[in-house]
Amino acid sequence: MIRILIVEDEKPISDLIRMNLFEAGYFCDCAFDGMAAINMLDENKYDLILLDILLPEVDGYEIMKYVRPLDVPVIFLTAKASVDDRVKGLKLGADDYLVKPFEIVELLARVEAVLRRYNLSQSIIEIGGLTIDTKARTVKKENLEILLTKKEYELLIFFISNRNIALFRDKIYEKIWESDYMGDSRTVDLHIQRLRKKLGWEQLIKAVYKVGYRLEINQ
Amino acid sequence: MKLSWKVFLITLIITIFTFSIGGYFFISAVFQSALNRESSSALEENKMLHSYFGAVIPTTVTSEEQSKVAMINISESIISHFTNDKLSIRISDKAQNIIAQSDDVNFDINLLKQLEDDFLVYKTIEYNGSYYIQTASVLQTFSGKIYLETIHDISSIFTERQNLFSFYRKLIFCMLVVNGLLVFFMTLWTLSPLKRLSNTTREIAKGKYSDRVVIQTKDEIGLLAEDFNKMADSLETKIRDLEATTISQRDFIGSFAHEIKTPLTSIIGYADMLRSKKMSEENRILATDYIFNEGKRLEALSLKLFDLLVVKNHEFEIKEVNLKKLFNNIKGIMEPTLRDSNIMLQVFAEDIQIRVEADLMKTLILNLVDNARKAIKESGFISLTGKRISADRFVIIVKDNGKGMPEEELSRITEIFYMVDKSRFRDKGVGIGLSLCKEIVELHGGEMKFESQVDIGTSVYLDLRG
Repeated sequence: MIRILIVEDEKPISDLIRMNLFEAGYFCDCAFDGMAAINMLDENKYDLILLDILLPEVDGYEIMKYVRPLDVPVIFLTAKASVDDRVKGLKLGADDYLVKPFEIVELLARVEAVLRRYNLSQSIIEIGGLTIDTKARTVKKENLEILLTKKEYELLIFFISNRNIALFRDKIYEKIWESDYMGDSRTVDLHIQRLRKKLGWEQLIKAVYKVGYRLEINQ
Repeated sequence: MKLSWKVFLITLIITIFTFSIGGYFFISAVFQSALNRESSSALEENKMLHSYFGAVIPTTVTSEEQSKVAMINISESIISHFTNDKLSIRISDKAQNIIAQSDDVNFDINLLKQLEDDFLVYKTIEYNGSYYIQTASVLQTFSGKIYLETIHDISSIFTERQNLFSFYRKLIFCMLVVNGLLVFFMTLWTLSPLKRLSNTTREIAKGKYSDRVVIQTKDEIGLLAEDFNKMADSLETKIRDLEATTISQRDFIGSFAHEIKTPLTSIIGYADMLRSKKMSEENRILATDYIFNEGKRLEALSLKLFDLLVVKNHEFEIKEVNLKKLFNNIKGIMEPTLRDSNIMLQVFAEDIQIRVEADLMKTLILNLVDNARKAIKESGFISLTGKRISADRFVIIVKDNGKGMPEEELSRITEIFYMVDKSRFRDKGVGIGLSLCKEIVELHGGEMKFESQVDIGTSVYLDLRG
């Protein structure tokens, strides 16, 4: 299981991240100040660190210097949106940054992206009777390969990494088609219809009234 | 053109000009006096000839023929006797026909015409590059008037003048060279401080505000340098102040953004969860509770900021307030909260009237008492003392036996958003209270001093006007 350290002094934010990462299938530890974070890093091995910059005692940049030799990927959490601050973080060796306030989907996407870059995400995902090989980009159901178009495959992965979260049509459109959602396009609905049919997931991908879809699956 | 060149050229031109004019007049005066001397000696000569002629001329009238011959004889004897290489003589009769004359000298005939009434005249003439003084006099004889003229060569004084002029020209040329060198180095030396001044100015313009010019002289340039340094001093102070203000404003914006974004992150995050997830009842309550509390935090922040803005930007009405009543009022407001935390508030107030803005004074003291409460947390004492120290000043002391602060924190606690307790499990503080207090104290022409020891307590001394 992937283990993530959340270093954040604001309890509400720390809880928010922990709850969402836990539901996405990650194991999380929380540190509320710099010293605690360093102690936890000494004791345990982590696959990813989410690091706030403004911390009591030892700030995020200092921790970054400590973390760097450990070769653990780091995502900065920062309320400072200025380019200088972001560049400073990235120069110190952070893999990505997340500007507060952020949305859950964005948090999960960035976590996943960084883990994938470090080849830490699982390459074989078993979910809802499917076996997905993310390296070979194949989807099998009961050992029979289901042929998906590129968009359908991306859509599937997007749903799986955001399981149990309602995905809004505009979010889906922006993520998969990488352009701005123009309002009443049926593209998203048509693709999801086809995906449901191909996978036999009519009951799992549920329409959320008026706004979008949610993959409801307990695992 | 550079100032040094201007000064150099102007000085040089003036020197040469004055010396030339002066020299010209001096030489002319010397020449004039020589000429006068020559002319008076020429006239003397003429007079002498005149009287000599008068003495030798026959007084008895003989025949016209005889007297003419006698006249010619006398004239020729006089001419041969007196003529030398400097002096020529001419003698003519009443019809201005020449009786006798020495050499072939060219006499000016016009001089005789002026002689009508005067006994003796002279004039300077030029002939063939030489200068002469011609004199003329008239002599009455029995056979009519006789004109006696002399010509005296005075070329030497003209030559002398010429020589003087040419010598003076050489002198002026030498002076030009020597003076030029002297003036050149003098200007360089006098103006070198200006060059240093201008170098320093350029350095300051480039941004080295701490640069100063070192000029020890006590002349105008020295004074200018002194004034310049004074200006640079005040400029530097102003710029440092401005920089400090800019930095504190930038810090304020940074801190402000942080203070706003932190609760917003929670609010947006939990709201996002609520709208997009199926959540357990327990988590749902946790999420809504967080949203509520963080919303409250934003509210507190905005209220305090508003207070601060109001204090900073408005004029207030100063009224007479009874200090004892004010303190009792505060005690009444704070008592319920303090009782919950088991804290005793003791009030020692003189029964005096103070002239303050009542609402602000209340806010100020409430903030300080509330800070004391937070420092104590559980069980302790707060004392609130107020007394007059002079006709227009009074002090208020708020003292607690809470956890205190380390010394190095004291200088920063009135900074906006600054919090000694940086962990976020603190008591809903937003870090504006003491900034607000400071503004109110300044508004009342006062001072706020802190004394604190860790684990022993903190005292706040307010020295206010009113």
